[in-house]
Amino acid sequence: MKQHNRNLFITSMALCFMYSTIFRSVFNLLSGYPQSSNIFNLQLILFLFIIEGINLLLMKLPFKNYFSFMLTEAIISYPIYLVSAYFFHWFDLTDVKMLLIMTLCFAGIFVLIAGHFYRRDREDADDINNLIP
Amino acid sequence: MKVTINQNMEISEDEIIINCSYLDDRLKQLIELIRQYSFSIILYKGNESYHVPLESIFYFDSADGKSFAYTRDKIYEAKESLSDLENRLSTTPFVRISKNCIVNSSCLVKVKPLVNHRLEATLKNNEKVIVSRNYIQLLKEKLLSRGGLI
Repeated sequence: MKQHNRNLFITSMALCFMYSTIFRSVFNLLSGYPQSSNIFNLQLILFLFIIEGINLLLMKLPFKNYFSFMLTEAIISYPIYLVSAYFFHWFDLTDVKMLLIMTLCFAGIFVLIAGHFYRRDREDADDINNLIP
Repeated sequence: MKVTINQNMEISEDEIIINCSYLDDRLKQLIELIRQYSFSIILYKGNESYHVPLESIFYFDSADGKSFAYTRDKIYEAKESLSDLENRLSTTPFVRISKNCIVNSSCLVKVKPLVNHRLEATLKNNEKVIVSRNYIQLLKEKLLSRGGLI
């Protein structure tokens, strides 16, 4: 129940945040307020859409374990992140310090999300193992 | 454990009564085996049909529109679809774990997480079957109902 509540809470928060951000950005852009944050939010959604598409394709492959799956996903996602950053002007790729900071941000977010899903699946497995006599 | 057997030609139906102070896990397993004992299923190997006791079947799966039953060392064909088997076996320890597999939850040894929110279940014969994400809750409920002997 605790795990269920936590999953519900995180999913609900994430969906609320995503829809609020999308609607706010689209509404602002349509109303003639083309601030960079509005455009960035939509660019980010497009980037995440591509990453999730890759994720779905990777899930069809028979990985031996979580680590190899996550490593493959990170190796594929990182260049897409850099290409997106270049085309959408998220940050200056020639600025080494900025590149390092943004790489750490990417790694941090990736580890947090991967950790969340791994923990959720591990808890499901533990729940079932506890029920097996 | 004391075992008392009353053999009497006048008894029309076999009956097992368990008197215990506490229903522990081992006893629950025993009760489950007894419950399965009363069931057998007709399965086929070529043109020959066999009455196979449910407790000896580890899992059913389907391939090319046919259903197969797997025991420790034999494979039989079932004439029913997995959906029909699922309905028929709903009161037994069998539970659907994916679109093409029904497992005997009494034969589970452990599960471990896989990517894509799936689980890999190891059976008593060391075979491994995949629990799809949509069926994890169903498996939990079946194991819970087994524990409580609902």
